[in-house]
Amino acid sequence: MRTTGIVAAVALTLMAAGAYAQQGGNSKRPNQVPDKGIDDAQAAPGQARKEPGDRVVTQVPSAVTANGVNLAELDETFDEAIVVTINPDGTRTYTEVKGLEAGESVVKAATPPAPAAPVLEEK
Amino acid sequence: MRRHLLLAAVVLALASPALASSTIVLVNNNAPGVGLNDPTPVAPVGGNPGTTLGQQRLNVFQRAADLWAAELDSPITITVLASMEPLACTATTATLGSAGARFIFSDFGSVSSFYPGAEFPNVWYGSALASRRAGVDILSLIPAAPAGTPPNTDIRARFNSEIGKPGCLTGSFWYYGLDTNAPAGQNNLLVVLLHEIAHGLGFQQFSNISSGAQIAGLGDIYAQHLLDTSIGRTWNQMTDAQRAASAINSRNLVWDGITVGSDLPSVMTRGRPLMRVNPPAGIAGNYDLGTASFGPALNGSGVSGGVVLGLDAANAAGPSTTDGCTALTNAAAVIGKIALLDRGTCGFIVKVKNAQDAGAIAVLIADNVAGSPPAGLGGADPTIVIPSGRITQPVGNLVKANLAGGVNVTMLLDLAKYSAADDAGRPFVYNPNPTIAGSSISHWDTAATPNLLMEPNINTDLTLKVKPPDDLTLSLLRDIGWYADADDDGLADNLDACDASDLRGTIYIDGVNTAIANLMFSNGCTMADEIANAGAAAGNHGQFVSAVSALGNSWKGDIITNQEHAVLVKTAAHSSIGH
Repeated sequence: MRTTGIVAAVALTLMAAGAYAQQGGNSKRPNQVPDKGIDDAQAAPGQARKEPGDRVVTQVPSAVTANGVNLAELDETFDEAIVVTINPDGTRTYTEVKGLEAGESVVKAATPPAPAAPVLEEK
Repeated sequence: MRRHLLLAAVVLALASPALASSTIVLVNNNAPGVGLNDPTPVAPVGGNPGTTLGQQRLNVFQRAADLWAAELDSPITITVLASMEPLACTATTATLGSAGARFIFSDFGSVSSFYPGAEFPNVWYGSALASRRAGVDILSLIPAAPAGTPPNTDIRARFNSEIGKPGCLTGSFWYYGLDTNAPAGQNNLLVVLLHEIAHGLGFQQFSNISSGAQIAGLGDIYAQHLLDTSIGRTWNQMTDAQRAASAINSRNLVWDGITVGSDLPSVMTRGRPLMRVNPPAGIAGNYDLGTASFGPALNGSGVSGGVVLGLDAANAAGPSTTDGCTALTNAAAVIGKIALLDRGTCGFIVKVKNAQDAGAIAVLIADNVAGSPPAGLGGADPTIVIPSGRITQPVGNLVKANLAGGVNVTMLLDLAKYSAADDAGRPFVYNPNPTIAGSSISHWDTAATPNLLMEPNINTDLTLKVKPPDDLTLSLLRDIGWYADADDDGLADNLDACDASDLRGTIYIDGVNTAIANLMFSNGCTMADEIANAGAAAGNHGQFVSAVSALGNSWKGDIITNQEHAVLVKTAAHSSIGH
């Protein structure tokens, strides 16, 4: 469907259409709540958590077509990547990060599995 | 001319029978022999008939795509660049996968007046939604991808092929069934895909949540509905600094879309966990409470009592005298009261059990680091029979500062409030403080009950349903512009007088092709629809023929010729309609 001819046709059609159209006992259990475990408790109070994968929005390639349509191409830091950690008790902690590179950082930063003792504060 | 006409060429482009839904096509980005093409023999599982690993994976990807396609109406094919490949992992932590929109557009028009185009100026849309609203494949505006690189697609989805192998969530494999019957310890790929593809369809915002900066200074359609109730502005109305502040303004950022608002009561249960301070008046009010995975659940009436700071020895088990890691030393004061303890060092169940042993009727655990909202209390201990909950560090400090004068609280589920919505019934967007880069903003608050697909966690009780009464994902997609259009004619169902239009390029009467162009009117009905309606209303064959003749007369001149009118009447006369 995406041929050169249609590219031209679409551009013309969109231009003719105008820039845009105006138109008018059920407590939840904490296995559903992300909690990073004992490392959180030991972090300095108030210390900002370093988050990998913050988006660099100023470097997103963008353009404006002749008929006023803005377009931009997103790199993988705009993807939603999901990381899972299996806790020592078998429960899972999920973290979403921006992109696979950030996911890799999270994986590398994850502590190795803890021995049976000491008991972690949060499961 | 009393009715606006759609160009015949557009009708021809839509020459397909009335179809609700859309088509999502996977573009397999794996090389032969790996990932989605892995030839390793496997046994069918969970309704997945694939007999190779690659085929089973493809089947799951396609099922996720089909489930979404069934809910979203669009005549434009949605494309997903899909792959399974080795991604980062260790024995206990792994990237499961990622997905998102690849291209975004703003200020686009539409192929005809039936398609609405962009609803708001200067607002980014993911390409799949932009195409749907433009009525054309908007990726056509982008030069084709260079040879040797993957083609342009709406969505990119990359998932981890190594899950379960040694060193990569060792033994915890993907479940490739097409249901929700994943055995314990396995990862349901279909559910994860439903979640991630939803991001690509528009359940995501594009600004930097640390700085608030936007791409090219433009907001996005998701952010258009993010309302900070503290300042009464949506994210697209804010400065960068305001957005950054809003990103951590926990439980004050809601979704203001009308579809989600109207659907929420049928999906989300009531019962928001709270600590309600009674006296003293100076701090009276409701405070968020994180619930515990052990002990009795909170209920509407709650548990009330005076608050007493639990004291224990500062020792190797816990260096603080308020961490509750060993037997409480002030049991006489704690008995019959709600014990307040600090988070830290030992497990929550240890603290709560020590307070229970001292005679406490409930336990509050104050966080020991800044952050909100309060997370839950993890752990399991069937011997714990008193309720407990977690409050933030500042709230804990507030309570402590007033203990000398007496503090009485009720720990309860406030049944007047939805589990994760404000008092106006607008769901909370997940915006913990501090931010969690990938989770913040582009998910629902984790307090939502029942669990929702688009929380940042893949909960084991999720279904494969994405709309009310099970879920709010489709409702949100409606709010950002995925409007219902059962016949895919471009006109939203709520504006369409004929929402199951005959969109064939020419008019058929009783199966006979008249070869007369079938145009569509501004009310969403085609000429064929009007003839069909005339047939349905006619009491007999003669009345039908007369009605077709009358319609033809009303169309003569601008729409059809005299000769075409004659063809219509003749075809109607030879039909069996009305007999």
